[in-house]
Amino acid sequence: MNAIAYVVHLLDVLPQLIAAGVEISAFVREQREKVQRMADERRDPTAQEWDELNAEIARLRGQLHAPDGSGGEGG
Amino acid sequence: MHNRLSIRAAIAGFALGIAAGLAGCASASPPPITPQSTVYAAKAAYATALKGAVAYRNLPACAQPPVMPCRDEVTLEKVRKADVAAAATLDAAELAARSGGSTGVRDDLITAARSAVAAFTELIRHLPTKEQR
Repeated sequence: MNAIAYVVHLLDVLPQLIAAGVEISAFVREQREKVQRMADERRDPTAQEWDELNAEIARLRGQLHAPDGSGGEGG
Repeated sequence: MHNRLSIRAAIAGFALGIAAGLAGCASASPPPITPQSTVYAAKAAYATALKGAVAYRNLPACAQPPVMPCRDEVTLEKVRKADVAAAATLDAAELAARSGGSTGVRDDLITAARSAVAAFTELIRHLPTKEQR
């Protein structure tokens, strides 16, 4: 693959990678704050907190296990 | 060539950022104080790793020869199998923690869940991002 074709390939992929990185950073921050709050308040997660986390996991697992080209995008 | 090197550096930086994020979630979180919050924290770390797994899954499939970054189907299958194992272990730990059953069984399940998350996170952190397998 020549340099131009390689750059075109990267330009196709980079926005997806960068968006994933930004989303992961925000998610890490959000989850750390939640766990810190639980520790500070010495309490268990609420039913709503469990439901939200489990729903997010279900959404992500659906994307991970989706066949190629069938809606796995959007990470 | 300069552009190619710059873009490779950007990708390397991205990969390091992901790794740092995963490491931060897995090891720098405050110590949870209840069985439920322990499992919740493990699930949050797992969800973070899952986001990395989905980003990898969404890369274009590798051509021959592979042009990185791309998705290797054998590696993706390993990730999917590890995910199935981690999810089952975490769900069992959550059920035990939330139902307030036997302490010994619950603690064993929580320990297993934390190990499963650590293994899954390590797998995601070391997904191939350059020409090596």
